[in-house]
Amino acid sequence: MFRNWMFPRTTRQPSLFSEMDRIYNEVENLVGKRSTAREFPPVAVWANGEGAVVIVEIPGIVPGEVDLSVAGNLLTLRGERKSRDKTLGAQSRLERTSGAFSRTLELPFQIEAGKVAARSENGLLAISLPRAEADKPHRIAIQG
Amino acid sequence: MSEILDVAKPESHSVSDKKPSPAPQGPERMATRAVYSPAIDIYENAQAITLLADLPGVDRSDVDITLEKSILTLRAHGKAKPPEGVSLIYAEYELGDFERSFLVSDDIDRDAITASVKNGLLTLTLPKRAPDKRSITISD
Repeated sequence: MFRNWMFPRTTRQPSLFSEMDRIYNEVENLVGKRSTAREFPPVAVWANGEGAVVIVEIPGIVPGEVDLSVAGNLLTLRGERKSRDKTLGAQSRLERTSGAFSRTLELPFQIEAGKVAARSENGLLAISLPRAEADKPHRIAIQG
Repeated sequence: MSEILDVAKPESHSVSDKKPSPAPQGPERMATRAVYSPAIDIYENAQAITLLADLPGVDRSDVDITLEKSILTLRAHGKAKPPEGVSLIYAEYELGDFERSFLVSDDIDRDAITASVKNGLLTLTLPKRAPDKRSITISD
């Protein structure tokens, strides 16, 4: 099982790893790959003070077959992209990732689990994750 | 021998490389979007070659497939837009268009090529022509 620490608790230790990332990305550019993700499915996270929208690329997966769960500040996606259809014959090119996946994303806030909504269109799964009321900052009036 | 080969890959850019690649030529494009090479699988059996291409965010009406001479070109223009009122804080992919070309061998029945798009996955079926068998009468 993979756990992707999107927002590491420790401060970022850049130099060596970001340099490795840069080299990795350059190699990927040479072979024409679009995604820099080493995990499947690739995600993008959009956020503001009220919550976040996580958009996941799941082309070829029936949306209902993705299992989403939320706990605290963690979102977990589980599912499977079917591997080759044997009736189609021998494969001569295999670039699409297949098989079972499980990813856990850590968000920078507590999620209001009861208000999470997901919508899928054309192989993009958009999950809206409102921030828990208790997690939002409170304005404190100064007396006197 | 049936074959379907990549002709040329468009330039693609990753998240770390912010330079947008040139948009495809044509008056219909309003904004410049990056063009990516979609991930594909190719299968072959006795009847057909099947090509699967990942086109996340692309509707069937946004896919354009052309066959000119032996070059089959797949172009797709995704309509997915960034959500409003939020900013991007983490990304493993970028929104963009897709383009990839293939060289199709002569034994493919060009008039029988079919395509379908479902859940952002393109399935392109290229049936093989029945072998051309002719008996030639030998004259005296």
